Amino acid sequence: MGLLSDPEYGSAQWVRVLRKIHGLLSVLFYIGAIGWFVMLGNKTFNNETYFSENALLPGLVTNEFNGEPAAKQFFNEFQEELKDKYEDTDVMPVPWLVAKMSQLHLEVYTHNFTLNYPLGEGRVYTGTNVYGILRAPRTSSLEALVVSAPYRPPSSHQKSTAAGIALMLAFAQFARPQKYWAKDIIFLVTEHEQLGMQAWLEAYHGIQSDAETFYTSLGSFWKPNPFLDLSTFGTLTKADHEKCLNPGRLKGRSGSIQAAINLEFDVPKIKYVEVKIEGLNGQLPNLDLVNLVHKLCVKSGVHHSYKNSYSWVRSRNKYDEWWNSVSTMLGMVTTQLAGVPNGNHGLFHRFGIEAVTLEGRGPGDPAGDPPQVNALTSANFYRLGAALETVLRSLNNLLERFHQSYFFYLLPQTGRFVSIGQYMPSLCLISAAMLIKSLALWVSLQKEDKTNKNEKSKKGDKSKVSGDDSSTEVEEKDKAAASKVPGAKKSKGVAQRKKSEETLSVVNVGLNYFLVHLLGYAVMNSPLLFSQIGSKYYNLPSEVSVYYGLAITSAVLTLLSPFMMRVLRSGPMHYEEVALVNILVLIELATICLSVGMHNFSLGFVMATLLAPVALVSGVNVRGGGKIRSILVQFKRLLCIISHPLCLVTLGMIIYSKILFPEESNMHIIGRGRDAAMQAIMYSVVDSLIYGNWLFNVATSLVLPTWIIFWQINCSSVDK
Amino acid sequence: MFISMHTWFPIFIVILNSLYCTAIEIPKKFQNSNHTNNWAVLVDTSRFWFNYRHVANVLSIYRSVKRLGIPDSQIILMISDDMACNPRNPRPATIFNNAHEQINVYGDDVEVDYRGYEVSVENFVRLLTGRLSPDTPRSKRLLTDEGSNILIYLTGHGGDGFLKFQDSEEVTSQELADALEQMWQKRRYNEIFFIIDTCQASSMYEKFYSPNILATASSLVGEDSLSHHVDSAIGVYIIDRYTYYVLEFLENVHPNSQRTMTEFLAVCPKSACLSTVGVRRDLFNRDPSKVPITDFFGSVRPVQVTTNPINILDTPQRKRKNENKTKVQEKMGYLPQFPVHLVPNDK
Repeated sequence: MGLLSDPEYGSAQWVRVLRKIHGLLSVLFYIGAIGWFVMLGNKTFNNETYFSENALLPGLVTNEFNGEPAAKQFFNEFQEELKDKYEDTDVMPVPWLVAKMSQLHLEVYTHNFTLNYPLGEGRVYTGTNVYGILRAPRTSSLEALVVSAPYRPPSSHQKSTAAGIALMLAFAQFARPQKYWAKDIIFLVTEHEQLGMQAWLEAYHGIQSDAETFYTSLGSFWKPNPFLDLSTFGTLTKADHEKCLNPGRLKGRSGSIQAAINLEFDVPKIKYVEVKIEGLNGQLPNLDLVNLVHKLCVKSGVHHSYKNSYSWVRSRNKYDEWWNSVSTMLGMVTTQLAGVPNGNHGLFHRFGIEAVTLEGRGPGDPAGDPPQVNALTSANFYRLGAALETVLRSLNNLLERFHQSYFFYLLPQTGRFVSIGQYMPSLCLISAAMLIKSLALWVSLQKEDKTNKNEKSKKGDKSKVSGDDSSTEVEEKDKAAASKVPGAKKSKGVAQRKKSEETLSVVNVGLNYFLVHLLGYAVMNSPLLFSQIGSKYYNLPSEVSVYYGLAITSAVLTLLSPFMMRVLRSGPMHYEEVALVNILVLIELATICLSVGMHNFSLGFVMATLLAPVALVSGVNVRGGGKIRSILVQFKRLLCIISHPLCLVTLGMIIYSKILFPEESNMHIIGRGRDAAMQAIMYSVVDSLIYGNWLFNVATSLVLPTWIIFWQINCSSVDK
Repeated sequence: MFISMHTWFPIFIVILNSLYCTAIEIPKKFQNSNHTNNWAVLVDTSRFWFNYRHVANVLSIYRSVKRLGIPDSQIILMISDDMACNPRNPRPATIFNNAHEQINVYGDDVEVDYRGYEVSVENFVRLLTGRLSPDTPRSKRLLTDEGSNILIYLTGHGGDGFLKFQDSEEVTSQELADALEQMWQKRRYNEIFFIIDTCQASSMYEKFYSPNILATASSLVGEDSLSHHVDSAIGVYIIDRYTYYVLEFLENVHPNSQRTMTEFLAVCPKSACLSTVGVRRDLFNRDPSKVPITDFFGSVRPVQVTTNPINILDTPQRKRKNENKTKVQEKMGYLPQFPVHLVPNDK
């Protein structure tokens, strides 16, 4: 096979076939990708979980937990304490927690942290975490396990975690005199949900300098260039961008943390435990830990679930089972997509610490009622404590960090998994569809100036039948055409081609490409500016100003970007130029989807699924053609508009509110959807600034530029 | 001439006799082992808490061997990891080989000769072949001679043709076979009884080519050796199946027991072990059914049998002569050894 730029290559068999069927092939690949993903729910295509780590010795040890009375007492005391003193405040009962932990002979410390809220007008939040360290009696403090619980004030709209904290204290009381701990256990109560946890982890690992933004979470590979950092342009944004979260310092430390269990129990009499695993940017804990927790819940007689997969529900038939698996996987995809941890465990993952959250649920839970939930026997402190004990004793046996099992997987059921090797093909298929289209475009571009030649060669074929002499003559003529020696008949066509070659400006294409990406980068850094302007001049809350700021920016970009392609040129666009842009953007989008999908499959997959139709439909519009053609072009443009990231978010939120509140009027629903979209964007911006969530950055710096280019392509029309 | 004829004749008879015997049967007289001392090399090759059972295995065999009479000075005990002092051990300073926890096999009188990272392939091979540096202490040497019967017991994690040491290196079956051949050529043993309890254990003795080795393994190639049961108080698999049944058998063996090696080789049927116990007899010249188990597990003591009764009542009275001025120091002697092995051990 020759090079792609080989002039003879257009005549290859496969090129002709590709040109003919690339559209069909792309569609088939796209459908195949979706089909592949859906089929992963079937038992034949996923695997049963198993333990890879020998050292865990799961559940071999008899339970000795006897802290039920203690836990009940802690629970009641804690409730009373909250009722007496903390009814109206959001402050954590630090003295009570410190006192209780000290009484259990733990090493107790408090930890203060400060948040300079990036999108507020210099608002500062402070918080305190309390933690107690149980030192392993017979070994040095080189390794540690963490048992944590977030503190939620009574005024919080979320479920309380009082039972979780009580259970943690009771477990600490039980564990303190045991002599078999080979790792320290850190009992941690954090304030302000994930903020406290993030601050504690950063302080624990000595990240003093900077809150992990998108750039710093890229590690040492890429440092933000002060040249490019737009925040340095305006003094407005500078101060805030530098440091959002000041984690402070820890007074006491233990060793390297091997694993963490986060407890969220509101009452002891829960019906089942939901094991939450998705972390920041869709990072997952090692499958061994997830597996361990599920297995040991079974052993301790605690019902457990993951998304739509419930340990006590036996599906009636294969179809039901498959559907449950698919919905569980989709649930996982939607959680991972946002990249927001669904519990405090999610922040551990970035530090290489495997962590899960155990959330207690009962009937009437905000997450919805699973089938037969009322028929379940309730758990109690004893069972939960026993489960926690076996999990921790198993973790205590660990000799090295979790590394044996999968880090990239999807869970269709509590006991089954889909590994990265099984789900990646679906993403690869979508990317392949885009790449096939770009390849087809490329070969057609190569072929463009040879259409005449084709005709000739057909003629040549005919003449071949007639005799050898004429065929050689034709060949000679062909050669003459190929070597650009103007023949008598072809002189006009060649001249035209030469002209187009002259005007095919790579610089122009490149500049446009560069500018568009620079714009994306600017949009990524814009929310701080918007919120400042909004609060300064219009006195708007930051989410409103950010949302409308982004909306206005998008509108402006949408209107202006089609003209950007002509920045440096005077004449009209050429087909080849637009086609080249199209090829480049298809390759870029496919690469983005694949590389994002390698880190966070869900995000990559959803991006690919949503953008691929636009990418496959968009193409160079050639001027002329009938009415149907112009309708088709308009339809393409409409599809492109809909797939704008901001539109997608807003539409998604409107549909979601329609599902949640089906009875309300449409205007209400749209209002709700808009508000929800505002919130969602605000959260993603804040998460990106404080925690280093990628979603907003990916959407603005990667998806938005590619979208703009597709929009440009769809809006441009060229002469053939 | 006559004299030379006189000396040659019995030798000729002996040679004739031996040729005759290998063909049909070794006479009973020759079946008795002519070993003069017994040694044991007991090796646990795996470390880490979840391999507790291997340490329990080797210590149990150590205990039995010692009970049957091989002294500590003739047992080389190699243990890769210190389970007794592992911080995960809820029973600190003890190692049990049974969930009933009746016998602490890591009792008061356990002499570990090679411990921790000293248990390496190099040290093991050097120990067997005697190629140790001159400053090696006596307790770390296998001071055997051509009259020594050696019991070699290995446990750990193995595969087809290798045995893993310390999670970092392994000894292959060929290396082991060569080491044993070197021992034979250096006249370091009379007979060897080789026991190995690992996965695919029989692969380890397949390459042996030196004479007088009887070998048995807990599993055949392609089979896993399994653990016997869990001690849920300690939270580990406490002993391996094969060793468990070996111990059950050895507990009923006494130093003067008449049980034979055949009984030992059949100690763990497939129904109990779940793996097939492999035996290799072809290198061993004697019939295992006529070899007493104490040839390997017990210890030879220098005993002289006399048919003449000694009348101890008629001891000649020594006349005390006070007039002797030179003070002769009273001669000290050793008391006869207390027959420890005959005392019932009800611990």
